[in-house]
Amino acid sequence: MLNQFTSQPIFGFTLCVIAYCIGVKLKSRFNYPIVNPLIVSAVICIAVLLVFGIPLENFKAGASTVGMFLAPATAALALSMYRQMKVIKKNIVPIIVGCTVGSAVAVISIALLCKAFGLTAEITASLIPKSITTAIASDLSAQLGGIPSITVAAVAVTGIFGAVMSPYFIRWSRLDNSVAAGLAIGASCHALGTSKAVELGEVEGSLSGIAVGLCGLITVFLSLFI
Amino acid sequence: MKIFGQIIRLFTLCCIGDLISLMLPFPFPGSVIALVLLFLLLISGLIKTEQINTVSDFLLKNMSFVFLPSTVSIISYIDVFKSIIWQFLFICIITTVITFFATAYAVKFTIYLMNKFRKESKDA
Repeated sequence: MLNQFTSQPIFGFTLCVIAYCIGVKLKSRFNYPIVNPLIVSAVICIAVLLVFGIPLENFKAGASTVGMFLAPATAALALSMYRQMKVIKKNIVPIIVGCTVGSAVAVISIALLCKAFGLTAEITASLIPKSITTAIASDLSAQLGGIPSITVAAVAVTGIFGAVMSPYFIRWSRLDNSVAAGLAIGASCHALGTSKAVELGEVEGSLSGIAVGLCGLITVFLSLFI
Repeated sequence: MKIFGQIIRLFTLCCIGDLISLMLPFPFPGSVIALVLLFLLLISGLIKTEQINTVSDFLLKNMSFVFLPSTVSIISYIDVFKSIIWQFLFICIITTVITFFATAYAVKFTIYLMNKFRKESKDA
């Protein structure tokens, strides 16, 4: 009976919504990067599946409806970039240089390290998009022949590490320029970093947000050549 | 009806993005094509912010919700994951540091050059 019940699409969907809401609630209570709604909700879902012995396929029947919203959510990034048009126009040269350098350095350093560790082509393809926003990264990973699940994990680890560490990076490098700081945060640790950048200042926040979108686009173009 | 209108605009763009993606001779995510199309439509004024903002802002605010299924699916790759966990963490951390500093210094240097150039053209 349990199997029949959980194979209904409504089960997986409802589990996703409940787990996500718990994640968001916890985040608003503990404002700490590791208490991330995605990680908390994923842990809840996995725990429920394991404890009740529910096959992943059953969960996916409903969860795939949630995944369908990935494309519109990615497209919606255009709106957040459009809202920053004034800041983009004002800092157009640093933005283009920063995002191009950032994306290229990220892709090249990941590819080289994967080669150095002798990782398979599949894993390399999964890791290459890990510095950009999950929306673009998971699609790009699939296109490159990677495993989107591993990409999502890599993006999350990168974002959490970056969000925790970026204020220290700024201090250690004596970076006194908020344009440079914002772009560096956005290019290296995407939207999770941006949430930290917003706390650092308005300029940091908006430039970080711009870098997230632009680096995502540039990385997709760069990956055509590897 | 307002929400339906917004969903139609946003989702139709995604469908067009997927169609273009299928026609391209190289792999390029349809969602990213939709992003570029929407950006161009916003700049040109063919779509106004108010015509997509409610649905877009909901998606932007709850972005991580749509990644939940692929994050949970990681349990089917647990063996692959276990075999590379240390390399995985090392690569994630080191490349984040490298990317941060490369971007920061590239931007700082660009701004320095721009200021210098401006000063010189003023002096001349």
